[in-house]
Amino acid sequence: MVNTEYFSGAYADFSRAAMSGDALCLRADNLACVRGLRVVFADLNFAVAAGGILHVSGANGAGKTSLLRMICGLLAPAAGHISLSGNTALARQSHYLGHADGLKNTLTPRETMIYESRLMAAHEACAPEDLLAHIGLAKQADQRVGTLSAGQRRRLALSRLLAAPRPIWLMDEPYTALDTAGRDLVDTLMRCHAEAGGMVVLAAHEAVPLADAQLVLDA
Amino acid sequence: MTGRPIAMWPILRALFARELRLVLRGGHLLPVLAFVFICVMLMPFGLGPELSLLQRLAPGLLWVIMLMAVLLSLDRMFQADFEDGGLDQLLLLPIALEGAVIAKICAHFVGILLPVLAAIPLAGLLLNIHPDAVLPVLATLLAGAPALVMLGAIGAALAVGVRRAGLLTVLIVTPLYVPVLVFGAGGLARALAAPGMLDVGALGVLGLISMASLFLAPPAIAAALRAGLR
Repeated sequence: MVNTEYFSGAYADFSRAAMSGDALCLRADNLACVRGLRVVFADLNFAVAAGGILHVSGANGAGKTSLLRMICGLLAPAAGHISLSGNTALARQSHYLGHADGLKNTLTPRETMIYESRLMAAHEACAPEDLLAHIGLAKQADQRVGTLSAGQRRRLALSRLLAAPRPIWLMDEPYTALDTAGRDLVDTLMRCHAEAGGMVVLAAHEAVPLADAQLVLDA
Repeated sequence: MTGRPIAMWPILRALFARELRLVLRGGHLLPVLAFVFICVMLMPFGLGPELSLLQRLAPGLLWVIMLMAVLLSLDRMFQADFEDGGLDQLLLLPIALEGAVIAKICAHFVGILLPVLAAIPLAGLLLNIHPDAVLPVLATLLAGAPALVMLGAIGAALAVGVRRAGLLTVLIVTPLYVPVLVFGAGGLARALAAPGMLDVGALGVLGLISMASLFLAPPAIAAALRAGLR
């Protein structure tokens, strides 16, 4: 069972301390995405203020994943620009949780968390053991990632968001493979992150009651 | 965010440690070592059992085997990261992609190529090279190995995202390997002709090529990886 109190307590304090400062605002102006000869979307404008959760929806191929990848700089926009309070280099301000989780099958969850916090230069990182316990993977801490179920892998991928505080969370279908407790965990994480002053942009086909804005992309 | 300066070395050390662990646990070393010894053991069947002939051909054979072993080991260097989303995460690290590339290649070098480098002089003994020549063989290979791995990594990065990229990597990299092969095999032949002596000129050229590739290859690899992701 997931201990959600941890995320509304320890994580929020840790994240709020790390993100303290001027209120941030993520803005996209006249954004366009072209794949091959197809214009996926054009003239896209939106803004997400600190504490905001933006739900991106749309049919398959509408450009949801492309939009998330553009925000963190993994994909260059065909036109327009994205900025966080005027800063256009967002790669190091973002956590990206994509379809492919980037987890290594031959490492254990404990090793994964230790490396993630070191790689992200997390000076104020939560202890990996605590995080794994609270995310519901304490028993699997020393098991190879390759032997975890799809849902457990997703939980581990989610816990990487907490390895280091970054203001922008980009989550592509975060509920995939998760049970009810796992879905509650995603909601708790997003709520705590937003309350701590961060912002979330998530692409999902299902309704997201937590979201305070929705962006529908046409295919 | 806090605006605290990012210390690069701890991140590079952590990345190197993680990659080394992945290389060692991935079981990539054994097939490469097996390839080296199988090649050497098959040579007398193809070339004939005449020891003087094997000794004469040993420099070229050892270098070609080394080169093929490097290519074999590079096959999945970036492909696995591309497929599992690890490459996305590397781009989001708080250091330049070039630094992450260097850490990955260093781990690959230590985890796979150093054992192969140690094995090749032993394989050379099976080709009847003089025991006194083991050190020159090792020195020559060591001088050229960084160039082989760096140039090979450029090919692996250019082929990232391509299915069955192994063949494409070989086609891209083979022409780049020619100067290293020429100076490596030539220097080794001269060293073996006078056991215990080193061909300093060839070592110097190999060292220069390696140094140049150490500086020039990482930006090229990083650019190829970025292009592969888009």
